[in-house]
Amino acid sequence: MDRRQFLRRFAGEAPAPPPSPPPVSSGLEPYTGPWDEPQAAHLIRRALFGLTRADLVDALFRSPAGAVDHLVDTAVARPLPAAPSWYNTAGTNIAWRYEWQEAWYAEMRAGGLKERMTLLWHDHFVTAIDVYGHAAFAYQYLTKLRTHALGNFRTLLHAVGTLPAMLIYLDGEDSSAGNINENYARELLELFSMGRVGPDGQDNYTQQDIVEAARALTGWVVNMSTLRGEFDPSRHDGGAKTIFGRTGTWDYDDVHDILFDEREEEIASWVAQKIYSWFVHPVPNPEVVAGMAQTLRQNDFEVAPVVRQLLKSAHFYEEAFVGSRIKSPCEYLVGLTRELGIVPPQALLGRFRETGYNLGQDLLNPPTVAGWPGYAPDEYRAWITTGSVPERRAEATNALEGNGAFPSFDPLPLVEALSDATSAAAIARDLAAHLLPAPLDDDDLTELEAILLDGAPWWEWVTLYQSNPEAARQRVRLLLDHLVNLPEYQLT
Amino acid sequence: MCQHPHPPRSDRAISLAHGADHDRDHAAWSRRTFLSRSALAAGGTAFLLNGVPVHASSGSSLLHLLSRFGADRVLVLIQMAGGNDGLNMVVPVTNDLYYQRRPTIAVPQSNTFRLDDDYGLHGAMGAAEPMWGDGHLAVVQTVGYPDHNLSHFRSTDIWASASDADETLSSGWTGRYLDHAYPDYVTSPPEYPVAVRIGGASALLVRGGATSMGMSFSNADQLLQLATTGQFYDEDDVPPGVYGEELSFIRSIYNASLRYRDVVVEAANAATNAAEYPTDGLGSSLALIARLIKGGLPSRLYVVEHGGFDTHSNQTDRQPDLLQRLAESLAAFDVDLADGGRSDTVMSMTFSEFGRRVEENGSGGTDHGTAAPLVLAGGGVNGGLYGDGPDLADLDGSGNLHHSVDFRQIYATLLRQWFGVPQAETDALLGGAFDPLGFIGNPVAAEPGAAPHAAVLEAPYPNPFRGRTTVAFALDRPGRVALTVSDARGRLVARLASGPHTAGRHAVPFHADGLPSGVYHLRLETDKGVQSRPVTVVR
Repeated sequence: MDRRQFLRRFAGEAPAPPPSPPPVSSGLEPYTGPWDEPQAAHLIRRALFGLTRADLVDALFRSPAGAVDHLVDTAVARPLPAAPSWYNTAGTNIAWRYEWQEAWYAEMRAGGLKERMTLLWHDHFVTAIDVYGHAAFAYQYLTKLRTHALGNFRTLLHAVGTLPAMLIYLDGEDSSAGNINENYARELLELFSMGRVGPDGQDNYTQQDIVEAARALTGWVVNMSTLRGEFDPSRHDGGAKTIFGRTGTWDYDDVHDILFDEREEEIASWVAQKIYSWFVHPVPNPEVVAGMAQTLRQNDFEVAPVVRQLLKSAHFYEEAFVGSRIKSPCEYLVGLTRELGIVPPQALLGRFRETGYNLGQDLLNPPTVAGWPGYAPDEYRAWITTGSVPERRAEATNALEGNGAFPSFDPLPLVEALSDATSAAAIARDLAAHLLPAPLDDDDLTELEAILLDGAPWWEWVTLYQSNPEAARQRVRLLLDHLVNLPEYQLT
Repeated sequence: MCQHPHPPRSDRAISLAHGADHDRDHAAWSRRTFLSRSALAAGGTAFLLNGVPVHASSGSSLLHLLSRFGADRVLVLIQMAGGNDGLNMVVPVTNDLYYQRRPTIAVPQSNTFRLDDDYGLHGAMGAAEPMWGDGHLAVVQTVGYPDHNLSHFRSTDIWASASDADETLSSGWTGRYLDHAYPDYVTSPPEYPVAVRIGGASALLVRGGATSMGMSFSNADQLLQLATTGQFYDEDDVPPGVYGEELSFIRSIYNASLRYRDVVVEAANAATNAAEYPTDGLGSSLALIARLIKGGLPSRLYVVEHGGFDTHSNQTDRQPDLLQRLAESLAAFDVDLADGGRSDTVMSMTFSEFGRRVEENGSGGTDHGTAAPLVLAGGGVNGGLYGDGPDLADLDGSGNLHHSVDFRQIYATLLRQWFGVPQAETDALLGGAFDPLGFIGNPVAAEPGAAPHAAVLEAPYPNPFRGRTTVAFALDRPGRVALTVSDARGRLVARLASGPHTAGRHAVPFHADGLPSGVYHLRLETDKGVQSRPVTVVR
């Protein structure tokens, strides 16, 4: 048993999640309810990395459907970030790896929904740079995910299998006629395309299907001169194989055709579940997933239509789901700075990378071929531990105090942008709404206001704000520190 | 120095660590146990530790620990983050090459205090001169490792994990020591943090094989703020529905993360500082640590950061100030601990991910280098200079120094002579045998029962496993054993061997059929004590 196999399911025992999907009545029909700040904020928080005032205002100017279309259209149109200087050079230089990880953090901030989808595919089509080593392979891999982030799932599935990162990570390059390695074939079926069990509860494939598919996939190797995956006919098993009951001298392309011919429904369901749990709630709702699967099939596995449909649906805006997702580390870190209006200098991107690692998310290096446990329906609480909570809280405080690589932070522009800076009550209410996923009750808001006032009567705030900005700044910073340290701030 | 091949070790375990964290959180801190522990705490178990009253919510683990040999020994690691320029800290004052290669930034002989004929400590560290005179300061020169890595992060990981340059480990050397010192940590964690990390020092240092140990704070103030602002949250008063369920869960972990609050705050309040520290990060961290130690907190390891050493430019404006604060902080710490009678049982050690290039660069600074000196401080130190001085005539291809002392020799010295870890265990913790140095003036004997081979629980093979694995143990004389398996929550799931066994090696199968995948703990109990090892079941 190799390391990756045993790591696959290994993630300790998270506490039992709710045993079944939350009971909600609505489905994929378009959302027609109110379109105010709470709803628009929910959309932005789930579709991007954290909320900014500008994104919120933009969404409110549109209809719910118009806001979703704008997010998706913007993501589809966004060009790829600049390639690093070493993108076509062999080398396992750690500095290049770090550069590429940090560039991703920067792109998450700017690239919105496109990067959220790219991260989804990274967690789905897992490869780990610890295994494949070369930064150039990480560049190719991430660029491929990005290119097809809202493109066609079939195309992406077909493309990732011949990337050097994948050929090395799942041993495809070691599999040849007479010397079959099943690793990639197994994950192709079990994790990347259809899952072990279909929506009908039946096994989707047999061990024999894996062996035969592995034979058909042979021949792909990594050419270290070109740094590309290439087909070497001499390593290919040209004999007849039987996959899902169909017999022929199948090759790489044939395997993919057969998958979609014979298991289209199962694949659509599996992909729909992934997208559902990415945006709505970790535990998928079977009826909604079935509807999404249908949409995928009707659109020949184009991803954008089903993402539009889900984000526009009444189901997505169900109040039960608002604030029900635990922020993953990169979402937490990028969101924190976006929400506070902090523009990360390069050194802070390096800090993100390190803090992300400490919080359990080393980008480009998921712990197992099944991705990060925190994204899995049955282990999604894994991000939050007694080790990670103090570190998350400390990092939020560091951001406010300008510690470490954080630039010095002035909270007044934030307050002025999203509230009436002359009113302590308004500031408390609006900062809470900006940072927390669900509304606080009146007692909580009074407590927040008291932090700002520090014992002074409410009418003195305006004087303090106008005559002593440094003191006002300090009071607001304390209020923000209280807010980002609340348990609610871990949720989105 | 001899080096045996490293035993295979898991090279990647972020998720494992977090998964195990989770197990522990929930094993040790369900809401019910939290309430019952709070009730205990309210009852007020107090006792004297080193003459200081200590309040802890349950004394059993403390008393257990105190019965262990050498258990009052504390190690304080000071990470000089950024890469400290060793040549300008321990200055080769008689070396012409040094002055030739550093025409603008070399430290003149007159600005040093002499350690011996050839070396002087930077004058900015004058506050440490009394410690040197008292024999409370050891300086180890040209510490490094083969194929030195020049990346800050990678080299920090290497120092923290004690790995080879081309090896990636997911636990820290001190974390593994804590695993060794607290074999039941996962199933029954002590009521106090076994390690305290303040600031941005490497988190890897406190990461053991299964989980992160102890508690972390971004600064000393934050720790003290716990007393007033670290609040507990109501896990039941949440809105109905999924959001409320998740909020309740998060609150339970927030509460669990504060579980050490009472013992830590009480220790801090039980003592006062008897010396004046610099008011910067390092000074305030060490001041707080002195109070915790004097106040009776039994933590074994403290990790603090002293950053800013990445002096690529204008080095002479920056490094002396950092060195001065280091020396002043160490000197105050030394006085303070002596006041509390803990001078001989607390050892401080600096380290930095690398030294800097011999030749100065064009910006009045130095680029990343390799070997560098480090400092050990405390009443238990056998003061003096160790290791070979830097040979400036024999540099590597990048113009960097060769090392004379492998950093793991320092670790081996501390593990064996400071903490009393037997040699075989030390070798296992460091992944090889490294010769100790002589910088410890009051070494402890190896742990009692040191007949370390009297009973050995071997690593199960295969591990992780599916279905069946083999667990072997060896006895050097006949005796009774109990070999059991418990799950992450401490529940007994299998009894593999019990009763009298003959001397020699015994191998027994462990069938995991029907057990959920996850980490389990093998536990071998003999009249020599208890050993445990994790084993992973996959399905």
